Amino acid sequence: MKRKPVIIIAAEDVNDSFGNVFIMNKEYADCVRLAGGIPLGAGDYRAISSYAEFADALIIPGGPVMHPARYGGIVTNFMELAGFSATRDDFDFAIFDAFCRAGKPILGIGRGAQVINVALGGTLVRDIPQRLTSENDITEHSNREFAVVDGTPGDFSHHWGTHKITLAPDSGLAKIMGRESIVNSFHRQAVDKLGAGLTAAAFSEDGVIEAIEHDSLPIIGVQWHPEHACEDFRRGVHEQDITIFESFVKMVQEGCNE
Amino acid sequence: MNRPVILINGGPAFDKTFECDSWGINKTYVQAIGAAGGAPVLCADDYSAEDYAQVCDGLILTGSFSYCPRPELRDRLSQIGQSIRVEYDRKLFNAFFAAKKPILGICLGHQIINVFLGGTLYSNFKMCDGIEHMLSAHKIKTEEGSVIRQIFGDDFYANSRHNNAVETLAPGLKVTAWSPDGVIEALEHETLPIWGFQFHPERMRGDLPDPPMGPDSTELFRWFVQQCR
Repeated sequence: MKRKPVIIIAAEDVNDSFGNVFIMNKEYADCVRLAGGIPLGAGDYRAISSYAEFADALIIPGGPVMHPARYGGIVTNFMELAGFSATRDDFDFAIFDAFCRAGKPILGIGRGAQVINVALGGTLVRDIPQRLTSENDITEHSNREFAVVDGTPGDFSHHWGTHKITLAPDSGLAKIMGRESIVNSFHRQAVDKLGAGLTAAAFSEDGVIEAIEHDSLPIIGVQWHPEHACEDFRRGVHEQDITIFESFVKMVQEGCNE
Repeated sequence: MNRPVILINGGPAFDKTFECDSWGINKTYVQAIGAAGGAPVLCADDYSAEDYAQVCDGLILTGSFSYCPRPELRDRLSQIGQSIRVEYDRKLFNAFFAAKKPILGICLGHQIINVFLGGTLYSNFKMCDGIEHMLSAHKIKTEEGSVIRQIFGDDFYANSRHNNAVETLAPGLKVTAWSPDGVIEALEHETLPIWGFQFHPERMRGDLPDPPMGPDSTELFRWFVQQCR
């Protein structure tokens, strides 16, 4: 009997006031199940090669920012240090590496997309509002929370809400989502220099890279959260979008022969 | 290589935004299985129990908060506290039970295996018996012929962190260890690969086990991983 595809979701490693726990956010798993896969968490570094052998694909979920040393950065604001998790960074990079070597499909969401990019040698924009401010010659706007479109500050925020994206015409994601779409947005960082073999598959109106795809491997990263429904006071309700998960599971079932 | 895949269930939790319904799994269980040669995997949703029983080699039902805060509230078990978890634990237990795959229950997991098989629990036994088993440590005496005797010998020092305990034993189960004050500390099934431990072996590993004067229980997890092959 052919089993359903097993999709490993890297556990969210939490080591703060929550205690010494792994968190499995059910939204990701619900999308995987609705798309026809079996969602399972994974959290032990010693078993990483077994996970890559046993499972059919990997999802790296969202989470806090990674330590900038992963892409050659340094920390000058010591307040930032409390937010990093070396064990989570280690695990995400190691499990990405194992599935990448095995040639198995990988979907990165939010932080997960950033992990993919950095693991393949890319870098991150450390603070989107600051970058936009300096690049657009605007010195201050709305607590640096809001992005800029056509030189107008404050049109939308990457940190909270929804915004428009434009997809690259020859990207795999454009086949699912079309040339334009609205996505939710909950991030302060984004892909900067692309990692080896990666292409930008979507941009927001202010030029931030919103999705990446690998040229030859079944690897996709999206900066938004298709698993998460949210509300934006201007753009209405953004529903959970399982189409990306359906395409991902289909890709797994077809042995990635697109 | 070739690590048995062992599913570890969790308890109700939220993600870091406090928005999303999540399972929280204490890392100690995951690390205990990883260190013992298994590939620990975690429950991710509420509906995949049958699929999990098909693709995984064994199940660990973990410990959690006490079911019931006061003895007089014991009948409200299904209405309060961890009803989500009780429901999902039952689905997981039934699926792995039907597949005849190994099941290890720890603390709450140990107690609920007894309930699922038809036994009962003794809620907050300290209120009636004056026996305190929450965040204490004590000796455990093992029964001959049990796996716990094989690994820990006649007796050993263990942690203790529970308010409820197994009261009447379910059919098919036998007691394999006792505390000196008469609490059931370990169970085995007579014919099926089902075991329960009231203490927390996943906290008793390495150079600094809990309690420090107790044994290293890594061997117990190695043994369970072998049962899942």
